[in-house]
Amino acid sequence: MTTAIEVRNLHHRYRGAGDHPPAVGDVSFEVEENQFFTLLGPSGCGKTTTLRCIAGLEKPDSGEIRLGEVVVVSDRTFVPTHRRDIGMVFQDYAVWPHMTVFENVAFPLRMRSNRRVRTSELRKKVMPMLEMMGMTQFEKRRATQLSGGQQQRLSLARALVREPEVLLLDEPLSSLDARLRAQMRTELRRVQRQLKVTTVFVTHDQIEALSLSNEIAVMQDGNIVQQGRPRDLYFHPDSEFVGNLVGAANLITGVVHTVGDVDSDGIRRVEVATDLGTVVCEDASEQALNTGMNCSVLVRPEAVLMHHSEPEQRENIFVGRVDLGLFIGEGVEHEVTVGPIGLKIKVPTSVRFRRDDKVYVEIPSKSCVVFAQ
Amino acid sequence: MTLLQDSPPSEPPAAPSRPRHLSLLDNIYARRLRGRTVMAILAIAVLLYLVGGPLFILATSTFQKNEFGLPLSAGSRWTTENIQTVFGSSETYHVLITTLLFALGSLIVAFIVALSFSWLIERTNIPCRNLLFVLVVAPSGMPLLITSISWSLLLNPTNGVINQFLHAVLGIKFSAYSLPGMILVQAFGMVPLTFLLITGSLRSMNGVLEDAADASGANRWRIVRKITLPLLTPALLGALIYEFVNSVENVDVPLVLGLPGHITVLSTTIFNNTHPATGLPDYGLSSTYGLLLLILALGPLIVYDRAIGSGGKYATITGRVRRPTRIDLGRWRIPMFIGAMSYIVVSFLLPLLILIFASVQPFYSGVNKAAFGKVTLNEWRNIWHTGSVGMAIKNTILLGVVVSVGTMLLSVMIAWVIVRARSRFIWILDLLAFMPHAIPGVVIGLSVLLLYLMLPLPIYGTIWIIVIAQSTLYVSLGTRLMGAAIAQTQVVLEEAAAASGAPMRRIWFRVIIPLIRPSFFNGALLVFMASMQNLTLPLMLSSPGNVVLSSLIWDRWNYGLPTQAAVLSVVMTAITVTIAALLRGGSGTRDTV
Ligand SMILES: Nc1ncnc2c1ncn2[C@@H]1O[C@H](COP(=O)(O)OP(=O)(O)OP(=O)(O)O)[C@@H](O)[C@H]1O
Ligand SMILES: [Mg+2]
Repeated sequence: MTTAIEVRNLHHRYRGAGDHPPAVGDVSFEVEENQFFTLLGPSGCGKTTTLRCIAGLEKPDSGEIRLGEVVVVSDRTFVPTHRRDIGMVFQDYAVWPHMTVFENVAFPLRMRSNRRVRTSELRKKVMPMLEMMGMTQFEKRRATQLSGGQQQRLSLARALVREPEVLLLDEPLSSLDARLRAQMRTELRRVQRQLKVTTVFVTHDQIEALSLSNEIAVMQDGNIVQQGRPRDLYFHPDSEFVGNLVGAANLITGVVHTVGDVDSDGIRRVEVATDLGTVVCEDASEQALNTGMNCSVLVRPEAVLMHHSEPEQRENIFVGRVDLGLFIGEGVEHEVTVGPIGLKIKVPTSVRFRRDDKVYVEIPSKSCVVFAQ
Repeated sequence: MTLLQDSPPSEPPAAPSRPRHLSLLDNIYARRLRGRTVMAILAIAVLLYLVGGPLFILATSTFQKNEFGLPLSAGSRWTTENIQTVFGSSETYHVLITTLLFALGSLIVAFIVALSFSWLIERTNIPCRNLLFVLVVAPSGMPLLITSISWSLLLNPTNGVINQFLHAVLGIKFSAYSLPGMILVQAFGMVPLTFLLITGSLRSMNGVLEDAADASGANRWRIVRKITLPLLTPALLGALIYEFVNSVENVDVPLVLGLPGHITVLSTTIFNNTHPATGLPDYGLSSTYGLLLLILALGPLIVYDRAIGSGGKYATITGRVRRPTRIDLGRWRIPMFIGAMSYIVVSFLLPLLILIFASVQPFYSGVNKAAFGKVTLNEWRNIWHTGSVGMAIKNTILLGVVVSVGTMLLSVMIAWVIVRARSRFIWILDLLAFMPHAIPGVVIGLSVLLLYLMLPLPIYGTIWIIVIAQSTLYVSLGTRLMGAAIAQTQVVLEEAAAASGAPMRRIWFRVIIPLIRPSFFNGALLVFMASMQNLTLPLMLSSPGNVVLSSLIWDRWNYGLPTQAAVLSVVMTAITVTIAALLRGGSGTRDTV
């Protein structure tokens, strides 16, 4: 596989931002051809800025960017946006209100040459694109007469019609309502698979990131703090920050009690003394852990099990009391008080727990992630 | 990409894969001036030429004396004599005080009337609100010169219609040729624009803010004091400053009503010094008066700019806005309506009728039985054959078209750079574009006059010198209008075009221009109307060859030909009122300014 995008030591500070830290500190990453690469991070961490630098809408203070074979940004080069081989979808659709749906999609094709392009020629490319988006019947409508979801699809069609080397998406789904967002998520993935276009996707929504990406880079304060495949990030975050960002999490603070030996799979047993009691964790990281260190244990709500009667297994069992149950359709989210702390526990709807029920909470050791502090 | 046919790789040069090695072409890209830089430089250059040049001449000519002619030419010397003359004479202080009284008096009257109308139309259930709105705005089509002429016909001490009536009934007279008379007429002239400036923000004010105060237990008076007025303050202050400059810069009222009553204000002093009835013009002295007037106008503006900050200038309204609730006038509904209509009859209808009447009289001499017997259409038939009328109409149209299109094109460019560019130096452009707003028209006229008397360009005495002066005068208005329009079009629409492969030039033609076209036309129409109505500049720069309708009307009136002046006035009012009605199609006028 070849590298389609290479970003190296990107640094950018907005003018007029005073002595605020830079919007992008020092960001480097590579995206392989045909991959779906996601920049995930909380608001203001510099995702959009990074993406805009790739698009050429922002001129970074320093760093290098290569798209395919072409160096578009370096110390001495700056290729303006319209000469970069990109397609971009913006958060608020950015469809041109004075053009029809057809004209919107045809626009990038018209920009290819300086002479007038015949409509019949354009149709050959525009119509298949509209068809793929299920938009053929709206061809002659004004872009403003479309619903939010249709506008979003239109802007995706417009970005893809020129068959760009790179597709850039800045929170394209965030202006849609929840149901439509789920639907567009699926569609986006389907289209990207079908067209095999290298994609950089910016979002702060962990579900979008996890479900769509081949690779995720988590950003914090202008830097990438962890990069990896969705599963790695979800199950083996490097830090509390990443752990919290990619999904709901329980964090239990404590002190390292014992550290076992690393076995053949690279896993060691770590016992942590917490407010709950001793929590046994299977740690797959290579971080330095010593007895007496302060640490925290992360466990996902759906990984925790809850029983009415005491289970046979003895490890990581704690007694608690149900505080609250929130029925969310696919399951029930409980707040359970265990000793001095509260845990979020998500269980299937098959077993019912009521308020004030006494329960046995089981935290499987292989689902626990330890972070030294 | 597999679905669609392969496209040829787009333009970027094939760079070596190691970024450090750069091809020559890359370098060219890096060095090439970006489109917006070129535009910014161009805009600054044109503005410097239009605004900076004349002001520079004005300032230098203040410190020059030349008995035989122009400053900065053979025989002129550096001196502070002008300053001494101006500030040493008690006449100056008298003129200054008269100017201030005239300006403040007309401001107070105009604001009381405009505020009352805004409140009645936007906040109460007075009947026929749309009709009232149109009728308050319609007089904006009547040039101040013509308003002054008709009030002279209505209120002159010898045969003014109203005076005839007052004298017969009450035995008193009220002369238009007095300071109160001038104040009244100037105020009538300023009401429409003041009303438009205020009513827009009163209308777009978010009712939720007032409701919130209501829900917090504030009574109505406290809501007005604590919420409504503070929210309205920027608009009120802005309108106040704008109209203040208007009231000190115009020569219309001071010439038509002040001259017969020997009441001189700064603008007429400047005019008289450059166009003396006898002898040579004294450009040094009039420049000094010009500088004085400039300072007078600039002071409040700077204070205002500090107070409001430039950030709010292009602020747009976002979010959900709920219209405020209307106040029920109860049994005052009809009396209030009658009061409002009476004002409109007196301020607009009466002047219009007297003009029409004067235009069908052989020589206006009051309204009486004998006069009705003498009604004739002679002048309506004959006037077209007078040589200068044809030329004036041609010149007026040429002037209006060139100024409106040229100014708006320049304004779009400037406004786009100001709104979109992120350079640290944009404030220079902002300031340059904002300046003409503060420079009284009579000062612009004077400076442009001096500049082209000296520059070896064949412009002096032609219509083009007025074109240049008016473009300078209206570029602030244009920039303001287009700035608001551009700020309302989202920048992502332009970015999306760039990301689709469109270079700057094509983004302009395919995205920016189509999106702002309605505002552009509206602005051009507004400038066209202002250009037609403007008397100050054509008069300051007048030559036999560049007469336009407004200066022709003044000429005929001044020459003692009221019938001809009236015919031309009726024609011109008909045209400008039509244009005023065209602004955003009648009721849509509400969105302008
Ligand atoms: N035009 C600008 N001028 C000054 N500062 C800016 C500008 N745009 C963004 N910033 C600042 O740069 C930082 C990064 O912004 P950026 O838009 O890249 O964040 P983001 O990760 O996309 O956030 P979000 O999820 O809210 O879109 C923020 O602190 C922001 O305040
Ligand atoms: Mg963003």
